[in-house]
Amino acid sequence: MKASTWYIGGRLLQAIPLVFWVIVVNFVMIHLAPGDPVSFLAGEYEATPEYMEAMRTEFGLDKPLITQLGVYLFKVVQGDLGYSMRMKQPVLELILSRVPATFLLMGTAMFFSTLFGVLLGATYSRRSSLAENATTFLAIAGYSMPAFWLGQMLLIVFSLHLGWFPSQGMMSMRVRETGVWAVIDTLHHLVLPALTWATYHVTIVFRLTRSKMLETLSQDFIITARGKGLDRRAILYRHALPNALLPVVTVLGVNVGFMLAGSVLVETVFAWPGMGRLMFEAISARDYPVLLGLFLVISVMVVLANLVTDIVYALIDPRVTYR
Amino acid sequence: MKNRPLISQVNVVLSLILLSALVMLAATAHGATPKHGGTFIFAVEGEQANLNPFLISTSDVVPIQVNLFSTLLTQDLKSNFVPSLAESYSVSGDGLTYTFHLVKNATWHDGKPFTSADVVYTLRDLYPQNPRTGTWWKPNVNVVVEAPDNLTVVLKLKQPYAPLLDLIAYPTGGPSILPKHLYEGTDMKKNPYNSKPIGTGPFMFKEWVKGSHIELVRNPNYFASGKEGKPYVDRVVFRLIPDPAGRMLALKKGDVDFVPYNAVPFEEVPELRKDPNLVIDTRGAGGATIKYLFINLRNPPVSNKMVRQAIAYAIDKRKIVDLVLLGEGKAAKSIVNSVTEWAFNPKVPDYPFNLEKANALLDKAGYPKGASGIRFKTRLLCVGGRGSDIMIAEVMRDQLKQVGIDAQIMSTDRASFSDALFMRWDFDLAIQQAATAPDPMVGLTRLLHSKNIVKAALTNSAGFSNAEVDKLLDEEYKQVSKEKRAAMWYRIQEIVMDELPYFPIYEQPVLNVHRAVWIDAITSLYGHNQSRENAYLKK
Repeated sequence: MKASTWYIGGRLLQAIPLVFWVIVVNFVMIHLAPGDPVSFLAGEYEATPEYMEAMRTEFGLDKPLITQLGVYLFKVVQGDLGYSMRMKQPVLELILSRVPATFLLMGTAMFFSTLFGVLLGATYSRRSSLAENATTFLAIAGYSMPAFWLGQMLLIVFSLHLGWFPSQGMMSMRVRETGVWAVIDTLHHLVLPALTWATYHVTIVFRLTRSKMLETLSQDFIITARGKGLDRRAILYRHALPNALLPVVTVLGVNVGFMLAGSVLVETVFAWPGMGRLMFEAISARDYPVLLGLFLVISVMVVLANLVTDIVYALIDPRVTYR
Repeated sequence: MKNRPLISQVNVVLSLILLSALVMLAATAHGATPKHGGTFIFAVEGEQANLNPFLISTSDVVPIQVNLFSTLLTQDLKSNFVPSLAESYSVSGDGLTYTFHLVKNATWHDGKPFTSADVVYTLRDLYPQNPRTGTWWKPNVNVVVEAPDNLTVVLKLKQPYAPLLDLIAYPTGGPSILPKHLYEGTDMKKNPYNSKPIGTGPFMFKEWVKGSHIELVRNPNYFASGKEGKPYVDRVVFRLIPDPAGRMLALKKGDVDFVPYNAVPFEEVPELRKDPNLVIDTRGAGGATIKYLFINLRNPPVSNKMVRQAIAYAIDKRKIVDLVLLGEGKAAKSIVNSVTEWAFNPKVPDYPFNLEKANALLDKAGYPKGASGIRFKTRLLCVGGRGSDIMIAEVMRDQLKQVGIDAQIMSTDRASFSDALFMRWDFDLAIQQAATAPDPMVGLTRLLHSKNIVKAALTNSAGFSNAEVDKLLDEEYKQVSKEKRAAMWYRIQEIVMDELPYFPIYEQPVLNVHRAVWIDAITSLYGHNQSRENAYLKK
């Protein structure tokens, strides 16, 4: 127990310089991009040069870049992520208000894609040309379909033509549901975006599980199990699968990062009010504090996801010990 | 004696017929009364920090603000001024005194009565804080606002200001009246009511779920409810849909009722026209927007007037309208939109497509064709992505190539584009729109007057400086006679269309789309930027 506490604490400490470095690189990159938030905020209508200058001073954009970076880092250490230039709201508050929607969507997609990916991978782990072809097909189709395209196709078929699902957002607007019906309404809205996201993810899990299963099934202990006359199902699910799952757990951790990046597309296509949309809007508006805040929150999430992966690893594999 | 009963019988019968006719008439009249109820769902592209019209007046928030706040006057489809918070008004013969008589029954959404004190406070204390009014309200209007009694407001000007009423009524950044009792003594920028507004308008603020929607509900005490009890709908919801394809899909499916024209992709229009459940409403073009080619007069060779005129001759505007707008728009003739009828000069030189003239002008300007058929290279700046500007740029590049001009497209996102065009003047040619509304004085002076050669958004970034135009612009808005103003605007257009700092490409078509179940969704010149108080569901 003590070893594990030390291990987790050590890993968290290691993450601090990493996150710090992420902030610095992002800060410099964002400020090097052409365009500035002031000309965006002034927008489509006229504004006087004095007004634009005043805005620049208000946001501290008139100071040298290195000073701006120093001020930002000093504030971040104190837990202050700054103030959104566009939404005139504390960045942390803004990001946290979008986290539940993204987590609901990402969590649902991840849970079902992992479940089905593993089950399919384990079930179709025989060496047959049919399974081989299906794998290749699924891999190519699921992996290479861009999320925005798949999302739009699903919308056209299941929402517009069949009318089974609502088209946009997280809740119905024409009639506002309450209580249990509000939950059901949100779940109804969740299906298509979650399916879009899961399609990509399920192919990865499926392919990985299947190839690891094939590898595991040819190992000695499986042959021994067969020799003992164990039932095929028991061999498959009790002996082979837990061993094949280790790399899948690793991929899950890595995929948290990919999924957060992918949320920009999926959430925009479905008008889902999550972090991805916030990022998209912040990029177009050059809302530096929000962008930096999002990158920071996401890097922390990725670090945590990797840590959780390692812990889960140790839990399911007795060979792994904390060092 | 015998006749009498007969006559009375006839009378009775006649009365009965008359009575039943009256009843039937009443019934039909009742049938014509708009139905109450329903939810009107309006798609918006993006979200802003708050709903205060003096802090933010972009296309995302104006359609919301107009339902919450009222102006003193408003305009109908034919640009006549119609009463709103002012039930009547008068203007003195010298154009220096404007008197507004306010409605008696208006209340704020929190129940407090509306009085002239609110108008005085808004116009005198709040409105000038709006940074965008800095270029016209403060320097030009220079108004003294007085309230002789609770229901009268008098504006006294130092000099006549022709577009005053147009501005008073204008929903986009015009003076909507804000409540004195909630703003007095506070910092307007930080007032909490900026994001949960209290107005006098037909709908009241209910909730704002960030990233999702803003919901308004019917104001049962609306001062202009009239006999029919306006507004008719129970709720108006503004739903955030950032993806253009998503907006169209929601509209076709019936999840959304109205998509404003600036959020409708042109390539969708032919299909939308075929949909029997949808209506494309082209009324409400009050914005009077034109797509221009901005030309940087500082950079050779486009600093040469002959080169600019050659570019104008080489561009086939009709073809751009056909290819980019799929024929839905109109090639622009002058820098003033033809919707602004009184000021639009139909006789300006408008450079009909003519490759020979273009080539001749370029030869004369001293830019002969080189070995590869190229005369010179130039940069064409535009906003990339899925909008129409990049398509215009591509058509234009091909057209300019025909006369030996190698226009290199530099497409960026909106933020970088605005930065290059207005803040750094780092462009040769650029595609940008501007509006003649609410009056050419407000819409075009900022592009044409040499005092507006400043590094700020939507200003004279072409660097156009012409003494006669400056003088005309300084004088025209002081004219009480509209004929005199029109004559001056005619002259301005002649000069500008000869000098060509801005070449008008097309007049932005207004194609608001709504579901066919709605009647009177548009009843004003402002189109999508008007309140939804007149909209009702078909039976």
